Amino acid sequence: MFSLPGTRRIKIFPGALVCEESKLRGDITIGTGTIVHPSAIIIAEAGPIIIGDWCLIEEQVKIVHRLPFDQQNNENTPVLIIGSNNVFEVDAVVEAPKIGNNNVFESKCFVGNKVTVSNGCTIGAGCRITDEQILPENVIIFGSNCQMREGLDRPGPQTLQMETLAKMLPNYHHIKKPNMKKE
Amino acid sequence: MSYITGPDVVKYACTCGLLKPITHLYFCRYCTQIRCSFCVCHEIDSNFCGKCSENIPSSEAKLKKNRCGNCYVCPSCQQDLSTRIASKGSANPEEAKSTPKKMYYLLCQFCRWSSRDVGIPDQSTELLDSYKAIILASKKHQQDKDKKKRVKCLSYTDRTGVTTAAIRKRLGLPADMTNPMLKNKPKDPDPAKAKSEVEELPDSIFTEPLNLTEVMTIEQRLLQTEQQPTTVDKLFPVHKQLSIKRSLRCRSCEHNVSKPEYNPSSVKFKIQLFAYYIIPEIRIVTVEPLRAGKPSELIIKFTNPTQHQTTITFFELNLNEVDSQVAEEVAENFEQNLYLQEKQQLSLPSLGSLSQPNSLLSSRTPSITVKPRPIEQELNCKVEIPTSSFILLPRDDAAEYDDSGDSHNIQDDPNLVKWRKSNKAFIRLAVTPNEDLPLNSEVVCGFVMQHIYTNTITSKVENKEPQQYNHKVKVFLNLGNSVGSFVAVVSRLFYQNNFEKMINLGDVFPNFSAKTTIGDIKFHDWLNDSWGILFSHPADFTPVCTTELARLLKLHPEFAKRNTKVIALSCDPVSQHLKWSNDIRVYAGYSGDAFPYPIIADEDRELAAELHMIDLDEKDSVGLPLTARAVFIIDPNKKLRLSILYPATTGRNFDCVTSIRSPHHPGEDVMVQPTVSDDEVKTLFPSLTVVAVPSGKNYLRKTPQP
Amino acid sequence: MELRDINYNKGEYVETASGNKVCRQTILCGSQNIILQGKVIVQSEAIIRGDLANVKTGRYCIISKEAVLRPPYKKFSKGVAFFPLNMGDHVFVGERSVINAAVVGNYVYIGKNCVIGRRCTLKDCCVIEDNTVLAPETVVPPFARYGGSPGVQVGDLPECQADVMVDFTRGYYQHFQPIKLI
Repeated sequence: MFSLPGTRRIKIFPGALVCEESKLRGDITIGTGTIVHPSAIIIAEAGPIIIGDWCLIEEQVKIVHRLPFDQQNNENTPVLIIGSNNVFEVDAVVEAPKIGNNNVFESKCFVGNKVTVSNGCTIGAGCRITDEQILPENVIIFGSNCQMREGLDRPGPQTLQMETLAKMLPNYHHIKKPNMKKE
Repeated sequence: MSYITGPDVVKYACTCGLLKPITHLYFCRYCTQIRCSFCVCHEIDSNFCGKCSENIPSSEAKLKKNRCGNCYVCPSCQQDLSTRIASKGSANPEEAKSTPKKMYYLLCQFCRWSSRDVGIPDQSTELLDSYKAIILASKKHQQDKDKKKRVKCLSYTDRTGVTTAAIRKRLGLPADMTNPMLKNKPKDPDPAKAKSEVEELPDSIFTEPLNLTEVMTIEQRLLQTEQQPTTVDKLFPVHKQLSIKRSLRCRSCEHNVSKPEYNPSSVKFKIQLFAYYIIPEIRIVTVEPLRAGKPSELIIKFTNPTQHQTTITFFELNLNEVDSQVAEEVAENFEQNLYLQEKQQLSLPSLGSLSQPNSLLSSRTPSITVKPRPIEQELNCKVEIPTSSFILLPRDDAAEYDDSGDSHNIQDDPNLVKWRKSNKAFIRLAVTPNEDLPLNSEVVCGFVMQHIYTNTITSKVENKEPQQYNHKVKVFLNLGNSVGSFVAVVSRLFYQNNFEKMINLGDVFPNFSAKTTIGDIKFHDWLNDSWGILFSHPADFTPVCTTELARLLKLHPEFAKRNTKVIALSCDPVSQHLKWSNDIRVYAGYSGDAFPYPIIADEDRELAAELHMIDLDEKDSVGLPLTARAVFIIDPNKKLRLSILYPATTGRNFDCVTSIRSPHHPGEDVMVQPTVSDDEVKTLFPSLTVVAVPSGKNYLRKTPQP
Repeated sequence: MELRDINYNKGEYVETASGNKVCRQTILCGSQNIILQGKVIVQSEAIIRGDLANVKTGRYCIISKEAVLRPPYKKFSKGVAFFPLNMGDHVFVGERSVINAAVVGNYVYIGKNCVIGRRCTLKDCCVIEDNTVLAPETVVPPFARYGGSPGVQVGDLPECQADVMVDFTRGYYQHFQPIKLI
């Protein structure tokens, strides 16, 4: 990880596991219990990103905080707040301006920067969502046509997987040291 | 890669007249004919479930409507459903010892539909366990029985893939009419009567808002054909459909052409007579861009898949002639079938009227020999048929471990066979698309390939040598689209860059013929015994080129001193060159009458392409590429000694070029060659200075210029 | 069409004794758990997660650029266990594909940009077309051609598919030639 001139610190809370090989750029805060796999890319271009607790960010994921074209010259820097217990699977590309809790972004999905993701949504594998909308809670999007279905309840948390990962990853990867004290 | 996912460019003609790629063809050894899936007989070997990989006997499959008993399919996205466990706390909280019950429910992993969405209660463990016990017991019982009477338990159908109905037909007996299900023919339903009165739509349809998430899609509705519900809460899981394994049989000689193994997970075959293993495979390697009426080079690769040597001969392809041998055979079979068909008259009408599936009567398509149909492919390109044939070596699987290279000496016609390695050969053919071919149309050419097929069946005991037949195959190649001349030139350059190599230092420079300002010349003749410098420039009447050539004018005497002839090249016509040479003379202040060196006119870029002087980034007003600034120095033996290539944007320093012939700056010290030993050095070069270097070796020895 | 020579920069690739050609820019986590049987090509920026579980490939496999081989996990009541990922011989994995499968058989062709769901089973001689998304736990039977999202059977394969894949992977390996960039 190289630090570009002008980037502020990456703030990592204790308990979070951020692999050295991931690419974090900009002002990013990572909550406790979050696991960031190697070759994940998090770019805070338009403003800081705050990632909540117990999130799982797998390889080749791109979380980009980018301003949409028509708002390029705004003075204020919006903050991208990602809630807790979110799962970003391999090669998901997420540019949404606001993400709630307990969402699952499956492999190779694409969420454009006009979509607001609420809580409990599941964006299925390979789905591309670009239209401006606010996704209702607990909705499941699947299929090549991005069909929408209402789920009964939110997807379950991945605590079991994360516990195992928390034990295994430090054996094989260099982990970035947490630099925020627990409040 | 392309032939797995891409279009099939090389197609072979099957005996029935259809064009198929070689992977889709079969070869019947007994009639030595090519067959395709259209002209063979398909028979169902076994049914199995794709998910649980379990073989299901065909009788059971018929009963269950060709669906698996255990596996379910999600009604919302048609993916397989998986069973999930949810642990539920025991009903009675006081009993501390009881373990929480495990409840099973079905879940689709793709759209997260679950059986709970429809209200199906979770199945509890106890029920499943008791069922499991019963199933296990019955299975064990069955297995014990099987061990005793193994052969008899498997139905005749499952063992050979031939049903009783098919056997009866083969023997010539009429179809078995005593099947009990045939007796009770269901009554035809009353035909629908048209009514003039139609029920009025209730008003609520127009006023109530529609919630799309509750409405089913057509696909979901049609999965449950009996009920066809409209709302999402009535989606029930459906049993998964079964897949089959089929065996193929040649219709004329009734021998099996393909028979898979019984195990559903196995990909092996008991009988595999695929054309891929017997007929040489042809693949297109490269084809020069095709222009209507002009010949292009086509390189194709032949691969011999067999263990025997084969000789390939080419013949002209004539679409109109019908293979006489095949026609005879077909006529014979046709007569036989007519006789059989009369007997089958009784069975044919029953096929139509029954509402039961056809699998009841026969799991085999009726044996009708297919009349060969004319090939529906137009040829719009001529192939120059080579007169010589070539040999393809047998396939040797151990050869990949042997690095010693090909030790055979095969006399090859060098025009025909470009390259050869074990059982593969690259063959060069000349193809000419038809004159009247419109631009950008598909070019298809064809030829007949004859190869020697060695029959590996030993039919007679005395005759131990395998028989060899000449087998002819019609091959059709789709060569791509025809292009106009501009695209052809540019693509030819790319083609050359990839396939042919540049002229290397030490290679003999080609003896090209060219149009120049002094007339047509042949390069080697013009060069004679002197050194030569050939240089190219992008275009006449441009500033940098003018300065370069003017400089050359002035330096020309220097070159002459060193016995060097100078010649220029650009892509403009001779007339332009002549006009421009006047400009150069004026610019250089040249007093002589004639221009001292010739300029080649290479309008169609052939020469520039051959010598790799084209700069693809620079284009003229029409869009044709221009030459870069190349310099080639050729020695009296016509070998290339030096080549420089500057981009069109950078001018050259011709003083530098002169110094190449005397490669040092005049007046400075010269280096002594390292090969000259120290003693010799003292005698040859008395005033020597050795430059001290850290390594301590004295290879840097200087002496004043002689 | 015949394959063209695919050239790679000699300095970029490491060639082992058993003929494996692995690019230096790949991300091989837990490389002691990754077994490449022989003549396997792993192109640049591929990711093989050997740290989660053992990854074993057969001979003549080709793993294209930016592909991800990730062993799947299974949830038990007491926790999560990562399964080893076993690939057979002569498997081609296209660019940017994500393989979470539990078992990949022999002679399998996986196209570009595919997502093979968790714990899927790909039997021998199947073809997964480009841009397919296979739902988790699907079983792809032999000689099936799967495509679309969700992955459903879209076609059949000829019976000689096994040999076609063998020829294809062998040819690809032979054409994968180094060039020395000066």
